[in-house]
Amino acid sequence: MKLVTRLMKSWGHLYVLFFLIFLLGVVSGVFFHPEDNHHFQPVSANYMDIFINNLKVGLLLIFGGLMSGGVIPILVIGSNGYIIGHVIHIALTEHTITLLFTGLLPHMFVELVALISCAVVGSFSGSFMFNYFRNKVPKNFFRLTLSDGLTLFFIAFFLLFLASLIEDFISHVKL
Amino acid sequence: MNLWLNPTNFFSQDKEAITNRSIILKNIMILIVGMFFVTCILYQLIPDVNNSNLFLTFAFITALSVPFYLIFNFFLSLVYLLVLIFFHPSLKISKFYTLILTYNTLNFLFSSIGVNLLFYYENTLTQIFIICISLLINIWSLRILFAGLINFIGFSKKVSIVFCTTLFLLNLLILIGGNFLNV
Repeated sequence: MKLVTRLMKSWGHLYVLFFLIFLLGVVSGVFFHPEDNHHFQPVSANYMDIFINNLKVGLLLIFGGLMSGGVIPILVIGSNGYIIGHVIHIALTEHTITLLFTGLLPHMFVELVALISCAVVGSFSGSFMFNYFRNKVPKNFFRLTLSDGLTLFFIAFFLLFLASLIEDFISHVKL
Repeated sequence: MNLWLNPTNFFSQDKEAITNRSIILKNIMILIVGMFFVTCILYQLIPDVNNSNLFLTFAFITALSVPFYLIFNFFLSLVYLLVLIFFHPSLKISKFYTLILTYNTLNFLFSSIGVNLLFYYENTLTQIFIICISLLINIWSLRILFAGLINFIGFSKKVSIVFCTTLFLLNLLILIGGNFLNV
């Protein structure tokens, strides 16, 4: 608990920022979407496949983010939000809103926290640049980011695995 | 402007008057201008991009590439430092990074303009003209690097000359080699 409090104190603002970007993506997905008709086409997948796929996204968020100063995580989290917004729009138009509660909601928050954790690690370089230009770089910045980055990565790893288990065994879509 | 036009005078100023931050900000300005030309190159290369808004494409490329360029240059300066650190054990990485960034940014700006010109005027004369201009720009940016290495960081003249000559030869190889590849 102490660890989570410390992490939130240090990086809480980035979590809030990425959550807002995600929400912005959801809103734009609901209101601004292509006119062509899409339908739900659920595909069955093994929890290991889901986990590996999400882990790839997580690694893209971390390494892409570190190399782009946090721009790639903003784009990926925003586009994830957009896709979810689009799914919500389809569910609303097809009157299948219950599918969202049974197929998306059980694992969504765990997966979202995991992906946002990866995005936070990826935006460390951007955070450093931002602080550097404001002349507010903490003295132990590199030591702090290294330890916090590893901790956040392991938390994200565990949450992604949990989310893939929930997605495989609990979340379900019956059309 | 003093940084580019009169580097020896610029780096000989009072140490508190020139900060890494101000030099990096100047470089970011140049990078943003360079990114406009990169956007133009992209418009020439990928016809599908023509349908999109020029300003949005420019903003997207700038947002994605400027931080990448800054971080890439940091790693590049670390590679150079693997050797140079032996000649000045107490040097500050941030100062060296600032100089390498200044050197590369100037080259980057004129390379992007050169490639644009090549797209607009596809003839041998333009190609030769661009190679000559690129070499001149390279020498100009090396002059900035040389002045910075001596006055800003504190390397000896000998080490600075060897380092600048190595960089010049490397760039010459890339420029001439790239030209042959093009042909």
